[in-house]
Amino acid sequence: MQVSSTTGSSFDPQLAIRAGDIGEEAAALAVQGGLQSETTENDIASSQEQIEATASSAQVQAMRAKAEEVRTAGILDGCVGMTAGALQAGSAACDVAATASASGIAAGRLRADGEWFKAAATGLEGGGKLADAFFAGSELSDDATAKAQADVADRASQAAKEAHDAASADLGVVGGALGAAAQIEQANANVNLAVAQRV
Amino acid sequence: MGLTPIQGSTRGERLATTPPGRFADPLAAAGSADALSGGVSGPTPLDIENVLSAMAALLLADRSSDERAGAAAVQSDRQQTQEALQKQMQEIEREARDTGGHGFFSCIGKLLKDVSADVTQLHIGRLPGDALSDVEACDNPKFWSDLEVGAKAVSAIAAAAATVCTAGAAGPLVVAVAVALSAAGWAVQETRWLGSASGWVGGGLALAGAAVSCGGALAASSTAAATALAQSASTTTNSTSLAQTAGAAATMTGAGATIVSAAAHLGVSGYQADDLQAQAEAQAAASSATLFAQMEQWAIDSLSEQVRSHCDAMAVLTDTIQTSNREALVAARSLSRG
Repeated sequence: MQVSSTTGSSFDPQLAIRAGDIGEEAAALAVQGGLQSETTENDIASSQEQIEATASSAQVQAMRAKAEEVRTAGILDGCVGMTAGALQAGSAACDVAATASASGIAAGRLRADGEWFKAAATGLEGGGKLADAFFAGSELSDDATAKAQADVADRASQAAKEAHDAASADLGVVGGALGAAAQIEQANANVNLAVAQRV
Repeated sequence: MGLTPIQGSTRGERLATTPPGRFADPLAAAGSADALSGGVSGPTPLDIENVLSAMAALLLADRSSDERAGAAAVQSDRQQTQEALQKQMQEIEREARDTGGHGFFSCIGKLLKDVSADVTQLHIGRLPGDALSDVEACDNPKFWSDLEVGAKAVSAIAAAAATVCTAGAAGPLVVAVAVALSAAGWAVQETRWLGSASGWVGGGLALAGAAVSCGGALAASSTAAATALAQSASTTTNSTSLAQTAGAAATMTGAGATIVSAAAHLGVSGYQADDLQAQAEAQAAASSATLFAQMEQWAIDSLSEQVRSHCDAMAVLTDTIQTSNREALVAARSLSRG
């Protein structure tokens, strides 16, 4: 075959395959395979990076959601607690007024009102506890989501790293094949040179 | 092939002295289109020489461009990594602020100590400033947490005292059941005895306690008129009155403690939420830093690979140029012999 001045960067696998030289064909196939594999591995690495970024973002979102729920639950608890306290104070005030009242009827009504205040306070506290339970469940769910997303991000990171390493190895294969092709070209050129010298 | 001797210096020397950018256009550098396409009569050694030189120049230009782009990418990734790490540090510091601080007694003790020191040493002018700074220092998560726990304890004790003193109003049995239910709910929820169901069970028990209290209240209301009629002509005994007053005072104390506890809970949960928010932001910054550091490493790897690839290509090109030189030399010798 004709000696060409192929270099590492201008080596065309398709031309080499058509040329018919077995050595060059093998090198060309290795280059083609290596390049395809490298492209695939790079695509995998990119998609895994994307997954990692998305999962990390979801993890952070879950953590932020938990923070907001803790804040909301705290505000709700605080408001419920203060209202319940005020109702308890109202109940106590009714009791005091009932004790001080000269009228038995008024005292009885005041005591009844006090009991209502007390019951309302207790009911409010119970409702607050139920809301607490709801928020606690939601926070647990956020924790679980954050942990699951962190695991996904870790796995994606590992997969991206492995794909990147594989792509580097593929590039090494391509480099080796290119080197082999260059050596073949060089050998062919030397043969042609020897023929020319003899002529 | 019509080989002609090469005039002048070797290609290697020309390569070394070729100004950058001279062969920006490979077609122009090749001299003619025939040199690249092979033409009818095939490329002359001069054409091949030009093409090889153009390739070398292109390789150098490409290498320089790739290295610049790679270095810029590495620099950018590094800067973003640094920024992300800085943000992470800030969030960690914020997290530390949202979880630390002095406790209730420490804060109050310092306030009392500073005030008494200013008063006894007659530094009255410094008193407002010291007091203000001490009060500001009290605004920390530990202080509010201590205050909440203390107020809850006071509230629980006061509730128990009030129950003992005022059991008569709705009937001892009803009150006892209501208190028992509420206390059980509180205990279950605080101790997390039933795991994740503790919240719901505790809340349910508390609501049941409230329902029983409501029943007691209804009973008290319905009997209020009758008892009022019955008691209209008489007066309550002194001991009952005293117990009721003490119970009311205990209830009032408990109510105050509940309000304080709720207010402290607001502060505590605010700090907890801030802490969690800081953790989330720190995590976000850490993820970004990891990602950028990874990208930086990969950019360095890619740059190294490019440099190595260019070096390999240049080595191959140099070999080719040398071979071409030898071919031209052989052709020249054969021509001179002929």
